[in-house]
Amino acid sequence: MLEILQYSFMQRAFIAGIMVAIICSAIGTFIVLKRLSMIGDGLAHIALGGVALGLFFNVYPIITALLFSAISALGINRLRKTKVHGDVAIAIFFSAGLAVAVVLLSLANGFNVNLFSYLFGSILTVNETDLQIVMGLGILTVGAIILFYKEFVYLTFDEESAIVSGIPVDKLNDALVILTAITVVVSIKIVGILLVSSLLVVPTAISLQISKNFKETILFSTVFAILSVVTGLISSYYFNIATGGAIVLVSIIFFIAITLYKNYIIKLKSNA
Amino acid sequence: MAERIIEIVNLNFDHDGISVLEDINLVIERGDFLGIIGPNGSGKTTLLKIMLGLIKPKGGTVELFGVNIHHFKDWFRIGYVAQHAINFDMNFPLSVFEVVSMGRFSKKGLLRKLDKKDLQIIEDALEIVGMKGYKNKMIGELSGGEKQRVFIARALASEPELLILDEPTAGVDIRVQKEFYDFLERLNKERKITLVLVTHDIGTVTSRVGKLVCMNKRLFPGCYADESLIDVPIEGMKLIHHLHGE
Repeated sequence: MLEILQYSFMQRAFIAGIMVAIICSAIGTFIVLKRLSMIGDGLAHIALGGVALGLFFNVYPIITALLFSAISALGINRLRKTKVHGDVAIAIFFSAGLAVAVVLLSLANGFNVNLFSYLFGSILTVNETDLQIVMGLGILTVGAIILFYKEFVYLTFDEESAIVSGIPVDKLNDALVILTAITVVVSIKIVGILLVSSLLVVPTAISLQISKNFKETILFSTVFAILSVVTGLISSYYFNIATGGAIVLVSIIFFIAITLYKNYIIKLKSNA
Repeated sequence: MAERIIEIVNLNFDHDGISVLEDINLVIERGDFLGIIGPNGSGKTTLLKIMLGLIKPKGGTVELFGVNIHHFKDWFRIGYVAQHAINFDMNFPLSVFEVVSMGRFSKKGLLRKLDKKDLQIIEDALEIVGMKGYKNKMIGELSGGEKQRVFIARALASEPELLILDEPTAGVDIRVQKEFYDFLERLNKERKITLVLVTHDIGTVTSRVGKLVCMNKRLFPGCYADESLIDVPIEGMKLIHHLHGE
């Protein structure tokens, strides 16, 4: 079992994967409860535009992806305040990001292999620089959540009362979407653009079925995210399957198991 | 003369050119228990939202505790229980205690954690509304009346001098409503909290509040006097003859 930890690329994969699990599940709890589940998927596709831009101009793609999605996240927030509904705002930025990526792709006659690794993730190729970026941004995100925990909880539950209490709701909403953008971009290397949103949404969806308060929700969500990443990584190593897909499939299996347990087994028991 | 907690002078408000509030003048003094009644769409909630700083007034002045609303910062002095406060996502994972603790956030400010004193105030607020035994329950599992109490406890946890309630008895049955008004009277008399209650239901409220104004875009003070109440053969109900100026 421990032999896989002998390889330094595996060590890096585990460290980066666990950090990504922690920030995805924590940010995901707020996003899901704010009914913005699709923002993760939207920002990931916007990030693809940023990645393409980086590859095109030969800049480190994570940086351009980060800028691209952070600015778009703020744009989505602005649009949500006008007469454009939240999901429409996300859809507009989503398609714009994808369009940028496709256009740049055609101009460059395809970056194939490199872009492919961003689409599907390549946790086993996480290098020292990637790891430093994941850890740096991850610690920043966790720190921000701890510092503003009570305010984030309040504005997630009841925005109007939070405003009346004098909480700077607009600024904190901006902070939350920027943290989401950071989380999405950091996670791209691990599970890939196409699967990022599942790591944001599924652990929280599992946790919501069994938790009774907010703290429990974040805690259980983090536990399931870490379990999914670790189990996914180990199985991808032994069965030689795509890591991102393995991680997400494990989390979906957890989701199905907990849902069945919660909705059928408990009911059957209480009927018996 | 008692301290003026809210003073509104010549307030006007329109929404896309359609007049919502016209020439509102209203003074609320410390210790008042004021009821504002009016039909749906009469601008009651808009007036409250202006008092709470959620909407900017367009003409006229609003002063809170003697400070112009544009410069007012001490929002913890005002507690607010919103209309439909209890209509949230039933599965939202919050315990009763977590909901009430939000009432302390305005006083604590950013970046500061709740301390022992805050926890005690939260416990006290739960005690006042009679929900102490429910503190670890999930908020979505409570009945409508119980949720309403929790939201009032949240408002009380900021130790407000003024408590504003928008349609607090909507969706709560008559028996619970009676208890609820008893409870508000005690808050007003024993804890000296100034109360503003907005409702379109003129049934119970007219016999419980100290002052009453009727509203339909404009305010009609004095639309209520004790003698205009007519007893009807339903417990706790009185008929009131009043005009909305139409």
